[in-house]
Amino acid sequence: MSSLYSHSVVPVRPDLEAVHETAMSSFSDAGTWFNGSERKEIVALARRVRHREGLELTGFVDEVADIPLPSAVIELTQRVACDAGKIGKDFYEKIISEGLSVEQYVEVLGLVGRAVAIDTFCRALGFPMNALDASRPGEPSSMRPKTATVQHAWVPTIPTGKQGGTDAATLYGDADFVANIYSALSLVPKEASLVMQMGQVQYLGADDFMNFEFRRTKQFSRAQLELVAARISALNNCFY
Amino acid sequence: MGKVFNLGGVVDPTTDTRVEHGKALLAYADAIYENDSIALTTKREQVLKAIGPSGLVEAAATAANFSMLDRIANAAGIEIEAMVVGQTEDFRADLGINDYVSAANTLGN
Repeated sequence: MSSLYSHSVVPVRPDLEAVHETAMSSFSDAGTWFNGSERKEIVALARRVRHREGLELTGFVDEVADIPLPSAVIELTQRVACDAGKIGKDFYEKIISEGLSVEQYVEVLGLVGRAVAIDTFCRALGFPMNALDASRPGEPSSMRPKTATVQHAWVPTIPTGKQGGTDAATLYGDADFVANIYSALSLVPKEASLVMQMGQVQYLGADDFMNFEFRRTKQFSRAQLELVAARISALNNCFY
Repeated sequence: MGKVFNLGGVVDPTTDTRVEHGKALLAYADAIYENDSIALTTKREQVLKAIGPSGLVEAAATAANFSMLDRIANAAGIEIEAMVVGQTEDFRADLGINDYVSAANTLGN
């Protein structure tokens, strides 16, 4: 069985390939608030709108299967995929007022964000986009963390430390501090966990955050890493 | 004292960031974001030549990561951590970052 990037002529780290394989597989599994076919459809829709916007995805295959999704899910998916920099609180409130639960909103953010990351990686390196798995059966778990509350985002998040109880211990381990970006999706811990795993491998882990000499390879310094990160964030109009 | 970099290059790629191969990396980041595949191929080759295949993969992974995190940050409406707000005050206005829609989540404007 070939691995995800076995075709690559440049050396993709095994941990990077593994975290992308996990993510690709997760798109077709039952999640917390959507089943496998709905999750796959959300990812396929995000890819379709990005491709239609002119962002060429090599070997693009439209995998939208016309699975019925609420109109709010479709609108949210399109905005997060193509125009997230213009999302304000009014848009969030509008989507929620249309009947989408906050938990579903958060799950869509995780799915689209992770899918865009993998497609961006492939596009950046000239790889063909990865095909989605067939959706797998199963019902959403509907598990909502009891401690989640509105703190530093529009959406509720699990607090760190004692306040977060077992929810925090399960998701954050024994960390006293978790960056707001990594707790942003904690209302759906499964998505938050997958985003954290990708962040640690694609960028750097919490232990290395203050290590300004950090290098995964001698050819790429921390300054070069932060330069690319900052430029992409500027292009995405991301204040954070 | 450590090396000093020029953050202006983040919003104005014509500015010298003083980061090694910064110009090639910024052009690569722009090409990843934009929809010109021919330009992307050219910029990728330039980065490959400058920092080698493993460096190229790291640059691509970084771009991928922030394509994910930026979307989540913007759409979840997260605030910047209080300590960072103070640390970045001196250059945010200069770089125009305070004008982003998502700035309102932290600054309340």
